[in-house]
Amino acid sequence: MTTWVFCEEQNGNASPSALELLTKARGWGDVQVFYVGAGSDTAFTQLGDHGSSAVHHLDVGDRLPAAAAAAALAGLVGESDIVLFGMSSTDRDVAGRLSARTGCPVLANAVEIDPSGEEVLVTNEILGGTTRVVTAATAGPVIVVARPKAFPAEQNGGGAPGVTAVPTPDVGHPGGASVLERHVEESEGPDLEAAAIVIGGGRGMGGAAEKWEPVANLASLLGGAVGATRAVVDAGWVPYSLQIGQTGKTVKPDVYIACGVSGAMQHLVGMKDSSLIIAINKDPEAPIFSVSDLGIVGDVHKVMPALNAALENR
Amino acid sequence: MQAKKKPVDTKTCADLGVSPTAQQVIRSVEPVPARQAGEIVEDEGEGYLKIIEKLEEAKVI
Ligand SMILES: Cc1cc2nc3c(=O)[nH]c(=O)nc-3n(C[C@H](O)[C@H](O)[C@H](O)COP(=O)(O)OP(=O)(O)OC[C@H]3O[C@@H](n4cnc5c(N)ncnc54)[C@H](O)[C@@H]3O)c2cc1C
Repeated sequence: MTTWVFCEEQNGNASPSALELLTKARGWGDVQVFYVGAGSDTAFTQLGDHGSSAVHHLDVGDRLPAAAAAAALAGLVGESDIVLFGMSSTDRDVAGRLSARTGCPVLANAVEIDPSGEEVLVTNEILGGTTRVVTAATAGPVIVVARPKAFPAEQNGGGAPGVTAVPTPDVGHPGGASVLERHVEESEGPDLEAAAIVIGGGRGMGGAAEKWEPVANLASLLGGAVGATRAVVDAGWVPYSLQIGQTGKTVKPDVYIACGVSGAMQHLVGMKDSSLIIAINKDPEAPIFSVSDLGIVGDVHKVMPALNAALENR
Repeated sequence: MQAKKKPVDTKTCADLGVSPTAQQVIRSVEPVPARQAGEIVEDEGEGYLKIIEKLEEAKVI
């Protein structure tokens, strides 16, 4: 059995999901990476340091990689193998195409993967994270798409892996689509998905600019990142890239402070696994309190300025 | 109404030359243990101190 981890290069680095999945899978036996991108020594070393012995590198230049990646991957994987993907659009695109090519199902949204028994067991959460379903694949290769942050990424000092170039297969028409432009998300402070502290602002903040300021101030005082609910993003107070939840980002910081957030299921699935959750909401019945370690029933525009002033004076 | 008059042609999987077999089988379905709700405090002007206390406990400040 070989485990394959899919990795799409991101700004010269390995994707965070690949490092998480390598950490999870390296104890199972042989783990190899299928890598898509221009290629960088930094990224390859990151992969080696997280337990990959070998990297298969496909570079399709400016073309969209999924069709070629799936075709090449289908030629490499065997029936007893496991193929792990993250949730980026390229990851999911390749997983779906690989499923079509191999006739094997995709087990999606995984939060746990266990190949130790006779069958590979994959756990996912349904109904807004309230119910866990364990599914076994009965045909291989077993293709799994894992949720971001389901597993922590930890180095084990493996060093530089061997890199083999994979020739670009001819996939005809679907291989013709190409990337015209790339936009890099600009943000100040720590990266939302990696930050140890996240301040999540909701509609209860009451507006953009000065009404939102306490959220940004608290984040900068604690060295954390700013996140938001969909209501806030839809209202245009902050950019879409800050949205946390089902249709936004998944965060798992040490501390999450929810400010004027009601705690809708679609928001909770993106942050409920934070280690410590603190909420400020004027409604004592707000669902956010049911997942909070500390809940302050009060007005964000009274509690937060007092909190920020106290932190400033420390 | 027009739609009701349209012929419905029923085909079996065999007619189409496919034999569907389940390639994934559910082994268990269980509720996720709910996260315990913690302490809820009404803010009387001092609520922020509770937050500071928690942040100190968590050693982030
Ligand atoms: C398919 C689908 C996908 C979705 N995906 C997401 C997603 O990814 N992320 C997401 O966040 N949402 C998502 N949503 C939306 C979600 O259902 C909620 O509508 C949204 O999360 C609510 O945002 P909110 O908590 O900011 O606003 P509200 O629900 O309006 O809550 C505002 C809260 O602020 C409190 N409040 C008001 N004034 C004050 C004050 N002065 N001081 C203190 N508290 C105050 C209120 O008591 C209330 O609890 C999705 C919905 C659907 C249908």
